[in-house]
Amino acid sequence: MKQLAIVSGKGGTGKTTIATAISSILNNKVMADCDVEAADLNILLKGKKIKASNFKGKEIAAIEYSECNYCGICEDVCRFDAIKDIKVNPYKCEGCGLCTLKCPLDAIKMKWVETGEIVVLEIENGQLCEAQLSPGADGSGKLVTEVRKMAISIGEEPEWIIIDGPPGIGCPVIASITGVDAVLVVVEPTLSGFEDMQRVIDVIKDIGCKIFVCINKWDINFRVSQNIMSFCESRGIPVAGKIYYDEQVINALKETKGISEFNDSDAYKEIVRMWEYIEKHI
Amino acid sequence: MAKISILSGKGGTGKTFASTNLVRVLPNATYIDCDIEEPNGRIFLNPIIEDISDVYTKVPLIDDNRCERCGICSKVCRFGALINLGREILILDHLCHSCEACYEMCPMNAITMANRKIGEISTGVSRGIDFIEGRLNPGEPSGVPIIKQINILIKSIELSIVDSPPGTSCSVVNTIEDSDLCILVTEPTPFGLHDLKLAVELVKEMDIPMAVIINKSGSDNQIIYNYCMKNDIKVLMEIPYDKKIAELYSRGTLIAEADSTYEKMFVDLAEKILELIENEAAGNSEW
Repeated sequence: MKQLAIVSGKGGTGKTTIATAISSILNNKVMADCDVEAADLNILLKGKKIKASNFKGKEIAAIEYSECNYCGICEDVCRFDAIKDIKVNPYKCEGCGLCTLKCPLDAIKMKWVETGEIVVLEIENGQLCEAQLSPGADGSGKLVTEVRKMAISIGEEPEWIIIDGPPGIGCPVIASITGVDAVLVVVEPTLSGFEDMQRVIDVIKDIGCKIFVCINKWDINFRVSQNIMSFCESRGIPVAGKIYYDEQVINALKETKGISEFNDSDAYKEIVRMWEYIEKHI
Repeated sequence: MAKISILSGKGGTGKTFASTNLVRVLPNATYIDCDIEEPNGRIFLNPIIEDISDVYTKVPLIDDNRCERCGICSKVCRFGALINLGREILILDHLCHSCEACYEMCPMNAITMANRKIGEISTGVSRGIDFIEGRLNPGEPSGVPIIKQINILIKSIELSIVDSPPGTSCSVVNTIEDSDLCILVTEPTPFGLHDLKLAVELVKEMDIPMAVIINKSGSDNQIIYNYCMKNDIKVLMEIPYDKKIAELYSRGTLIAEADSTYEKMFVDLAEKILELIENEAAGNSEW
């Protein structure tokens, strides 16, 4: 079993579109949607739900008012301003438990709260695991790790686990790429896209796995595309794919279809070619 | 004082595009980049940076002479950031949340809290527009401390246009906290709508007034309008799907400066926003 994560730094560069196309190529795989703050993969893969479970990913302080004498020590010690007027703000509480340790009456207990839901779906030739973080919750990195654990346990010895990662460079991205065999970085040739790609590559390099780059909408700015190519060359990172801007992709997305359903499109053909390259060089 | 936050749920829908163009036409507004993982506003505004200040979090530092390796610190740490190896206490900085429970509970007073740099805040000016940017160092798990520090600066700023991170998690919550208005940028696709709903849910939960901008607008706008109508949310602007915008964007050029039609669109948007803020301040619950 091999694991490949798709990330981008900047959002909206085509991670999910490409993940869907790769999914259509593979016969025995588990897809893991690790963009738990905005999971979109199933809009295209249209899987059938077979399992769902709540994830309790965080402990927060809960005051037992029958035991409390409103002394306010909890408010004073909290480093996150999470307690005001002897009420816990669940968004601000980080679950450190210092208030429970300092409360002279032992009136505060830690309680596990739900931070999201993990869902397993049956898709063509495999499964899809995804999760949705409860809006405003923290611990998205933990939820990503849970999705990945689920992805490993659910399949019947899948050949591939393909991880559709979140944007950014923070905790959920680190959780999405830790321990994978390779990362595919999808970039659009814009100045923002290029800069964000460099930042995410810095993070991947810390983790130390094989990196591939795919330039999506390769022809929208040739100069930036050239700069991305030179950058990758200087870092020894192969540019595995160059996808031309293709109206068929936009049309497919509008109809919530994968680009694989337009299998004579240039975009799909290039993704197939790119995948052959990745499989060979991973 | 007013704080307007631009967010989206889905990444890459045009938050930075909308906020940088908006701030260009809004008199006396400050642009604030809270997308600390990928701050891109700078590419479009080209500010002259006047000051860079480091942002630190606090992590425990153990005085070996005082420490008796009792391990209480590692027991009270709920984040696994302190490990008692017997001979020494191992500190894992990246797991630390700076709650200071170890510092508070150490019976030997052997722990002090030391600064660890996680990123920086740059301030500057871009042709008359004040500019503030938070930037997280690659490899750091959370930029929330940077956002919190920026929020302190925002308190003394007349009109803040805040460019939010994507998603719906804690960094977004901290960014939009105490906003007078949230502007949600979406695209008329099933993906845009799906993620818009998540963002709306969050903003509602936080009880902040909101309005929507449709980017890459086209023949499928109705899916967004239907949803907004049902939820009583105003659509302030439609930015058309235009190859010219994509080209200028890719080069880091502001459309409001390069094209008078688009400049006018953003001026209209600015007027609508100021009106909404005034109505809100006057307690007119028109939304």
